[in-house]
Amino acid sequence: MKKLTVTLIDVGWGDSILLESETTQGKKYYGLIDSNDSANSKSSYIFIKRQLEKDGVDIAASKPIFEFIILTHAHADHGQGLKWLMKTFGTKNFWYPKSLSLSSLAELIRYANRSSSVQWHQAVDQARVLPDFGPAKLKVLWPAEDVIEDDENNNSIVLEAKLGQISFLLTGDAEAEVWDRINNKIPNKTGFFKVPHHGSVNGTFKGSQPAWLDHCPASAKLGISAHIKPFSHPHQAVIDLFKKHRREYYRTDVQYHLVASTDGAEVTMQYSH
Amino acid sequence: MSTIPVIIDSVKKAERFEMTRCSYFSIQCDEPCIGWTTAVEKKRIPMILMGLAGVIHRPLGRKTQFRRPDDFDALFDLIETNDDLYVDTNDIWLPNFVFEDKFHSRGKLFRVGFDLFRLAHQYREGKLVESKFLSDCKKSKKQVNFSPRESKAFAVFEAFHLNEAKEHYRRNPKLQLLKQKVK
Repeated sequence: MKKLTVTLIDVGWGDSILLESETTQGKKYYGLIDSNDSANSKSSYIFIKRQLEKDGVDIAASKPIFEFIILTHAHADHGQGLKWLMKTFGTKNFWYPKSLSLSSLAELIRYANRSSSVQWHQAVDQARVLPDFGPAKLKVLWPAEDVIEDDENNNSIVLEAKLGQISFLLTGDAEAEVWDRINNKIPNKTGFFKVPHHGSVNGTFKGSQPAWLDHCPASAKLGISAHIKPFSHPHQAVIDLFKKHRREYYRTDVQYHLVASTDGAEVTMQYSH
Repeated sequence: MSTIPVIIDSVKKAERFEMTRCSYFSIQCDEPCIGWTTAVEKKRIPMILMGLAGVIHRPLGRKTQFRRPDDFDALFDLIETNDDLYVDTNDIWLPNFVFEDKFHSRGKLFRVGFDLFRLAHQYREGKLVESKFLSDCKKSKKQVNFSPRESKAFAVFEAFHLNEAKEHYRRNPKLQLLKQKVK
């Protein structure tokens, strides 16, 4: 059975998302979006390593492990630790957005330029056709071609991963200004939607109105990669909004790793707590 | 006393939260490495290193600041000639009140005194509550200084590697992702 799985790894705070795509013959493909691993805390690395061990993958022999690694935008809570993950596991592709100031992305690009652990790397936007991810399809919904925003959060790559009829949307830290422009691109059969910007007010509201919720199917499961310290994200106003609209939501600070899976027709959620 | 170069990653000015996230470079190693020593009470202790995380604070040689983009490359390239070592980025938070307003923006490089850096690291690691961190920072606010030459050197370092990536992209048209018209 074909399967697409997305895991919001509980990294304490920040984002790290493991994607797995499986063919009917059981062949698996791996992708990664963001990391917040520090020198003292390698949550993504530990989770990925254990997952690969469970799958019986010989890491050294199978390098590059990842079909792609994406840095959604050039903020440290999304990019730090990615270099070690690239070095350890290898990737066929490293994709990132254009940015006015690279900050920590500069070191990742320097590494990608030189290392055989990264086979290809380039900036991506809506105009780029991404290769298939096993039986799943990938599509960049944002940023628009040749658009670079002053607010780095709004350079976030918004990615649609689709299997059969079901789409999973992974949204980085894209805020209301982005959703104004791409709400019409949220698929009718969105099965899982990562709440933007850790459940911050800026990621879910435009003023006092919902920025994207009214365009996201009511049946979509919502996942929040929390950023409790130092921001206290998700914001209580975001949680209250979801409760008011009776939306099914999950959060890493309460339920630990969040796992959304689809066979292309149905969506299931698993979590640890 | 050493100062640590940090690059402003994101300035937050939200209600009840006025802090700046800064990136710094670290040298790391997660594999056993032979040929290392440490010193305790001036006595050298040889060891096989198992795991390392060190903060990069100055370039090679006698220079105390990264005044040219080459200073970053020379140090990082040297570190990574040993396949077990690598340069990575980590982050700390500093309250906005320690920064000079006019230079306080993304991409600028500041030098942070060791005592303040240590406080920030403790806060980041959850060893210090926010109220204590902020009150201790008020006593240490003169330990943060804008470094204009290093800011410029880092900006050139960024631009160089981005241009190298673009050149690599241009030289390999067959590897580029296909383009499509967007409706």
